[in-house]
Amino acid sequence: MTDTILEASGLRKEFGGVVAVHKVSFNVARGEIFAIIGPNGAGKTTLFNLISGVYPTTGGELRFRGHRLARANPHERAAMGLARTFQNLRLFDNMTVLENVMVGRHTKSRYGLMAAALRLPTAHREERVIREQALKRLAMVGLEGRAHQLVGSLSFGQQRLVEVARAMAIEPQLLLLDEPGAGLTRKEVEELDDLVRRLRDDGMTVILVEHNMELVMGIADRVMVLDYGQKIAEGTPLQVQRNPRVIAAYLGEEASVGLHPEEAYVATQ
Amino acid sequence: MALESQLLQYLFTGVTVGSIYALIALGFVVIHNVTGIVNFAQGDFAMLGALVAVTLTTRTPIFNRVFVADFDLPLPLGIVLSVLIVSLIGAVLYFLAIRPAKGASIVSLIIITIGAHFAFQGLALIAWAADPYGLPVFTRGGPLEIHGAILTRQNLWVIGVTAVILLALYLFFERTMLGKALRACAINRLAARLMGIDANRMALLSFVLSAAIGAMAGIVITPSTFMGYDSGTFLSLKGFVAAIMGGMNSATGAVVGGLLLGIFETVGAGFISSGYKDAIAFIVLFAILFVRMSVGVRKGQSQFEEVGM
Amino acid sequence: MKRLAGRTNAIAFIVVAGLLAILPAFLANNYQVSILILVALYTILTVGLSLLMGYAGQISLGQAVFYGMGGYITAWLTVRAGWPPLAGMAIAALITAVLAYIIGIPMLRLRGNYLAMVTLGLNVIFELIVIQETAWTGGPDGFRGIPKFSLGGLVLRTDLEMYYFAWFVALLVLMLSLNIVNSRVGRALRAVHGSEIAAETMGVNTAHYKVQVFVLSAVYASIAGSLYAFWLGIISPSVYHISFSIELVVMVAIGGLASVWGAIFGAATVTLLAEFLRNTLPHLLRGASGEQEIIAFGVILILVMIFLPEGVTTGVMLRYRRWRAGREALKEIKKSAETMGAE
Repeated sequence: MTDTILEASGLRKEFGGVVAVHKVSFNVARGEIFAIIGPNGAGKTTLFNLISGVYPTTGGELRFRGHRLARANPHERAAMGLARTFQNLRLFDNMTVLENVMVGRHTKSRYGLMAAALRLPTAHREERVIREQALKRLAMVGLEGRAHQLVGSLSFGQQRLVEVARAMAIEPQLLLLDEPGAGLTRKEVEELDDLVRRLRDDGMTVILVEHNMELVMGIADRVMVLDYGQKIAEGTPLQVQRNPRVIAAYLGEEASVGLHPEEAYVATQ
Repeated sequence: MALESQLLQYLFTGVTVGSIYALIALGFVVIHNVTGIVNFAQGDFAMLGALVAVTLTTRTPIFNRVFVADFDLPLPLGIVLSVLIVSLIGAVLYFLAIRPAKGASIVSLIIITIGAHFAFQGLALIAWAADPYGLPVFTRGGPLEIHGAILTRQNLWVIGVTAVILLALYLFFERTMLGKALRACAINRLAARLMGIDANRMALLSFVLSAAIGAMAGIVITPSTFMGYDSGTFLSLKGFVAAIMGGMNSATGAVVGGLLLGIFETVGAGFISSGYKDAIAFIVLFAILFVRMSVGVRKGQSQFEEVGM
Repeated sequence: MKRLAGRTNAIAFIVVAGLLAILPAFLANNYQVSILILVALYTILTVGLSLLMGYAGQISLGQAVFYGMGGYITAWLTVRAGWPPLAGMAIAALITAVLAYIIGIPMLRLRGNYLAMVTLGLNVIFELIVIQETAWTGGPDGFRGIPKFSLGGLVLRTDLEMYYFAWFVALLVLMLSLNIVNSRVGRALRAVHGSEIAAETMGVNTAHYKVQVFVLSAVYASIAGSLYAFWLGIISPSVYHISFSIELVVMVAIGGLASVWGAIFGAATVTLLAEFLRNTLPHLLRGASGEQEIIAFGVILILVMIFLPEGVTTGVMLRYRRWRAGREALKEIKKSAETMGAE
């Protein structure tokens, strides 16, 4: 029997009457690379926001390592071992690359305001470990040489990798990567592919939202396809690629680009 | 019967005061919905409306008695002109302080309105000194007596004017293109932009509209209470509390919140202590925020702005 | 010096402390010493508010209340209860912290900018209480007879002694603040400032840290308020007017949001400007009471937020760094162009 790390049943999210995610159920097994694909606006990022707790769900249930997630804040979920990256980068621009990753060690350290203000020995000790661990994660994405640069001075692709390193620093059991391949060069995508495999081999579970089909079909163990907030297919990359509903959904996307403004307005009502 | 008439009296006074809070709260809600800004200068629109109306209609020494304003306009004309002038001030505030800070964070924009509040207050101090001002009552005549409680004619004016403004706003938002555009902007800024609505124009409109509503509130209350250069602070605070009571983005809520706050305050001042009348609003505010927090936590509500789908 | 974060800060400390130590030798009179004592107290207040505004993204318009609580509670404990000054100061800070905590919890957990209005309201209420509860506070006439600060046998009698003590505390507060900024807690706060959502998903309890920094700012304010009471021996309600809370916001705007060192600059600039306006306005405007200075502060706030929303010092530094980075990038491009040409 496989060990399930994340269970979603009947997940639902509405924004003022618009259904963004509709009754989506799926299970992710421990140690698996699970990809979520679908046309733009299919609800993939919304699903990530539900899992990481950025949005409360409108309905349905989420279980992580057997615990119900409904009431947990994002920071509590992080402490439980759930980390994520963001599609449109959310790095801390006011910090260096290293400091960004050091924030990822927050849940792995304890010392508080008083110890910090008085620079107590505990603060000193913990700080050294935080730094070592953060540098180790930076080395894993090949950015240790950039540690002391402001994060804004890095290229877009490098910034994505900083986000991945920062999420890795949490030492999560489940890592959510939101379009990690977007904006990367071909070589960077290959490195990413490599990195994700290594993380899986280290025992991490990875859920991936990605548009780069080559990347997805290459590394995913299983793929789930969303369209208009609903799950339309799930299976191995090969099964999904041959699914007629999936093909239709992707063809439909070409035709419906450029939603008429009035429709957009009605859609948000 | 004494208690009954006393309670009725509280109700009359409360609704009158509450009408003013409601109008100021409406001003908050209009600007907040369209721009996301909490406008600290909201109460100053009321203060300016009243003092400008006073200056236009009665002989008033201004600028440290260097000038004497002797327009002596008839009251209705003075009121209309004052509302127009304050609307213009609202537009000026938008063009000089809000528009140039385009792209600034909401916190910066709020600090700007705090700055504007104090700039207005200081300018008013220079223009009108620290004296209290009043306006004559709109219509002469004895008060009405209902079950031993007194309702002055000015009270009726306040309630009536508030009702008319609410009706006018309702018609504006429901029946005119401009009003609908403003509402669309309030519901979803992005969608409104997709529809081709100019967000800048709507923001300007929200400031002008709020200024006009605020001015009217200040004018209509001034025959019953004095107005001075620093009255804006309290009016802002109370209006804000009323707006929060109503949920900060609902016009109906703002009105209900204003009326309730007016009644709470009057009853509280009557039964507890008049010295701390002004503290009541904050106890109410605090209680609401506390309840909202615990309810929000229980429901597991998101504490974040919607980051887009 | 090992307790300081970073060598630059350590050097800055030595330089600033040295300058402050010799400064009194160049002062012409006691009035100037008094102004510098005020700058020290306002520096303490400004650091706290700067951390709150810069990191938690929240505005407090009620710092005067915490300043006042420090003053009044210390006064009451030392005069009426006969406590030693240091104990009075500590308990005042503790009570102020509890109040800030109670206020902070609902305000900072809710999305939106409620704190500004709530603290503004708090300031209004505080003034009412201080004026009306004459038996406790001395009412409009003020609370009199507060003892000079003393510790063991040492009593701070003169303004000059107070000058050194106030700056000692101010530098201590700066040092603690720098330590906090350069720590796990500081990183969490900076993360909240950078992106609240990302900070949360990294495991930072954002509400918790916002409350902490608000409480910290209140404690700083209370300490400054106690020092003020010891120094003057009398405190009266007019000091704790809302306009003082606004002045503090202006100090932060000038000193820079989230800037520890900028606090000294902001506090000094605004204190000197306020003195200047108070002395000159009545000459410029016949009959002006000096209260009109709030226009200047209002306009400064608007201008700073339009042109340098991070505050003057932070904004200028940021722009300089960007300019320099831009120039270096340009140089690199030129260099690579040259080497390409050489090949």
